[in-house]
Amino acid sequence: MGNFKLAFCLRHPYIGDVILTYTSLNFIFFVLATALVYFVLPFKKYRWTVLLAASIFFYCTWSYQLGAFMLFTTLSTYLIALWLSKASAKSKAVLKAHKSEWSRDDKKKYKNKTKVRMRLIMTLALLLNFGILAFLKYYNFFAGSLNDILGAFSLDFSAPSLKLILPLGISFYTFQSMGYIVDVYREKTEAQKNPLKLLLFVSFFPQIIQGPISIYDQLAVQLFEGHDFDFTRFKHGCELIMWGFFKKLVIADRAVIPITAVTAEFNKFGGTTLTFTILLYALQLYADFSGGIDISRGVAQIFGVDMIDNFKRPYFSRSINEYWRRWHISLGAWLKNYLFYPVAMSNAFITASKKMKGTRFGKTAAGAHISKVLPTSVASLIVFLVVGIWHGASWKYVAFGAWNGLIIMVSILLEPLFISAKDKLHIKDTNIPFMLFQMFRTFLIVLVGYVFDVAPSFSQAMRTFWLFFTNQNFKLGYSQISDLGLGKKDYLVVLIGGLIIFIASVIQERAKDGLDIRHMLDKKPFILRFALLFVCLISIVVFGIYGSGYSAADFVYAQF
Amino acid sequence: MKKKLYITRAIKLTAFFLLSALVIGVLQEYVLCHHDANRLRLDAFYIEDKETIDVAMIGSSEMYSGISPALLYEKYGITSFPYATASSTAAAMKTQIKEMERTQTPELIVIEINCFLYGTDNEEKESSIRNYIDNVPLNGNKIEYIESTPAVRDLGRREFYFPILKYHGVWNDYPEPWNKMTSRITQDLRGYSYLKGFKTTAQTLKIDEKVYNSQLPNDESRTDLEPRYEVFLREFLDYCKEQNYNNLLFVRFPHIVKQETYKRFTRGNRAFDIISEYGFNYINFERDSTAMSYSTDDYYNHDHLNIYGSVKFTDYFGKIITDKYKVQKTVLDEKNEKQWNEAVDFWYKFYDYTDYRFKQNTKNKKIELYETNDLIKKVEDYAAKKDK
Repeated sequence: MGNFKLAFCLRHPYIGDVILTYTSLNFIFFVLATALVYFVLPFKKYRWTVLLAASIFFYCTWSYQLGAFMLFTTLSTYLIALWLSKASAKSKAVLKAHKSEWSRDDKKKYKNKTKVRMRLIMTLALLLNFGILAFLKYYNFFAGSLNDILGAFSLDFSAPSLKLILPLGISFYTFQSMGYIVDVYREKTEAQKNPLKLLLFVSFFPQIIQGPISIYDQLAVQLFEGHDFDFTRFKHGCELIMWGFFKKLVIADRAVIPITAVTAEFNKFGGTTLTFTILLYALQLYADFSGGIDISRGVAQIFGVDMIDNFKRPYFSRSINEYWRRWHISLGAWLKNYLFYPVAMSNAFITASKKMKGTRFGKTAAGAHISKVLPTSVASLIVFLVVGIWHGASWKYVAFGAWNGLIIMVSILLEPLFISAKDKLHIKDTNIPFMLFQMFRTFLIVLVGYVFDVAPSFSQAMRTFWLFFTNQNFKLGYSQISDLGLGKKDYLVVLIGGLIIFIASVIQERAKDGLDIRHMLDKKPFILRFALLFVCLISIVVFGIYGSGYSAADFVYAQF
Repeated sequence: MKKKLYITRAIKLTAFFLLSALVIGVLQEYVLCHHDANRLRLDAFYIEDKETIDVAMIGSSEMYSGISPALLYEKYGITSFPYATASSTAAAMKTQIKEMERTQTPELIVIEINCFLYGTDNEEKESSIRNYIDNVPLNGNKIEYIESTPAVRDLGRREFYFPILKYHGVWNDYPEPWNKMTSRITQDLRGYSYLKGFKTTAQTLKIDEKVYNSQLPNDESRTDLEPRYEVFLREFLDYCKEQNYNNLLFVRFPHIVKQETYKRFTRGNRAFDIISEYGFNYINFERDSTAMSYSTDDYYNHDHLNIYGSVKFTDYFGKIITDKYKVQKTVLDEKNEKQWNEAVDFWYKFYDYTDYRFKQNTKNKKIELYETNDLIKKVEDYAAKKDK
């Protein structure tokens, strides 16, 4: 956590390294300056160029040399998308030209041939770009694992360890670009002819650090359309940014202090402290990630771009499946579109399902259900293994993915049993205590997953589970927790901040018209809105973790 | 219709930003700031009526612990004030003299040269920089200092312009700074201070090492100033020369000199040569047999006189500046005269209280005493108790 380091950033003669983090004052000035230029530019048609220039500048403040990776992704995506588009157009033209001469079989054969060719072209793009990501992110992990295995067999070979730097936002822009490539391949989207426009889609500065991962059709149109200044939109954007600042600076960056202290000396702490740390991590991670996304969305909104909301109160989920539909929504949607469906709907899975259906077991009620849901459940497991690996190059993340995938798999496979048990116990889905129980149960499952996230290694995660049950000592825990770098007052701020998030979430969860809090506020008297915004601003100024008196933490998801 | 909407929005936005700025400004000034004795002292200086100070003393901690302005006033009728902060930096000297002259036109400006004698880098020490500049109100001099000081640039200028960016976390220290915060507000509302920036420590120096003081009045040894500090000194002297100052008195206050600090003493001798080159007056009290005859009981540490030493030195210093430098006392108006008399009354009560704390302090712990509401109350209570 917080170890995202970059070399070669822009250097200002007076203020040193100019890294525009989302929570810095420089970033606010940068956004305001960009907005000013954007809205003042008389040629609406070319306003997107302001966003492009700002995005390039933003990236360069982090690292201009590592920007070469992003340029490569953009260029390869651009060329391959055009290639795909041309191949598709050519195929259509050939089919049209031979419409009357070719038989149905000839046409099908040609179509299949084109499809294979296009698939190969698409695979080239995927291999190139995911290859770079995989190499930079996982090379050392695999080299280390390989060395361990070879060492176990006393083989005299050692894969070298490389000093690799991960370019800012590589996961996010790679996923986004490859989603675009697949959409072009599927002919859902036209290939972008202007490479600069594609570069803007890939590098749009509010989303480059930690997403959300946007779909081309949803984002591109908004980016290239010249928007006029809209006060309400501007106000809503600023309110969202302020809320993001509150979550990130007041809660997340404060809560990360004891978490970092625990992870630094993990072995030192007992079960109570570790339990507390995992609970705190649940709050910190949510405040950090959703706070960052709120800032991103707020900034984009100022420019008239509505980005997908990445969170929908995930801790209110009643099942782990629902949780993953509410947490990091854009990643979930990406994986569903581009990994889950291709796997679940693949010939191998469909055939396996059909084969099982034909067996004696498949003819029983349980067998029929299992053969029906087998493709989705196995595909879910695969997707979550990918999610795990995406989180980091370590076995603990593989375990994190496996845990979530297995729970989902089991819940799909055993669904009829649960339904029947509920029926027998006369429990309705709308029963409030039952709903609360489901939420609590889901939250516990999520917390188990977080143990893998927080623990430094897989074995430490296992030890943590053991300590949860065997080493609860509240007196020792209290003294350890008091010594983690936060005083009682700070813990109180975290608690109150958490309560505020909880209340805001409950209000939004209960909103019948689906309005977000900002729209709800618009309907309230001016003085109430004024007071709320004022309190929020002063809270950030006073209680925020920023400035040289504190060391603000990086966004957790920036490292992915 | 649209025009009305725009006007309403403009008013609402302005109200929001004005109120926010006002509240943040108040927080920055009084609540979430650098609370310490330096702040109280500089605040006390700025609330002194204009043109009421005869002798201004700029420099480091020796100034506010070595001379009692109230005693100097009582004995010689001279009003004085130490515009000084702990471990003041050499880069701040120009700003200090400019700032002091912004509100006062003293007959004599006494400058302690401690900041030029460092062997280590005091210039980059954040605490030394902030002890002074954080307590100066935002004005042209402060901006010039911030913009021209490399160490400030390295630390980040924004936090010097808007100290709340650095000190917003001070809320966590409360209620500890409460006494200092309320003392500042009380002092501002009162409009004057009692101790006039004086600060002392109820402690006696205990030293096992060899003390060189007795032989120093005849010691001509010289060591060059650290190159960067000589540059600072010469630049400062050039500035003073350019400004045609003819009322400057450079001084080196008395210290307990031991092996470890002997080199600094020899730099003080060298400083005399440099300052003389520019034609300014310099009194090195480390070469003065009277000042160097004070015993270790007159110091609370080897750099600072305690209250007993300061009583002696104030008297001696007052005699020198009135005899040799002919400082004449200003005719104060009734209001200021009353305030200075009040300061003298308070000084004696403070002296008694400090003496009492000394006697109580059998373990010779460090007990800092400077003007806060809490201290004023204790001093008054002790005086009342004593009167009974």
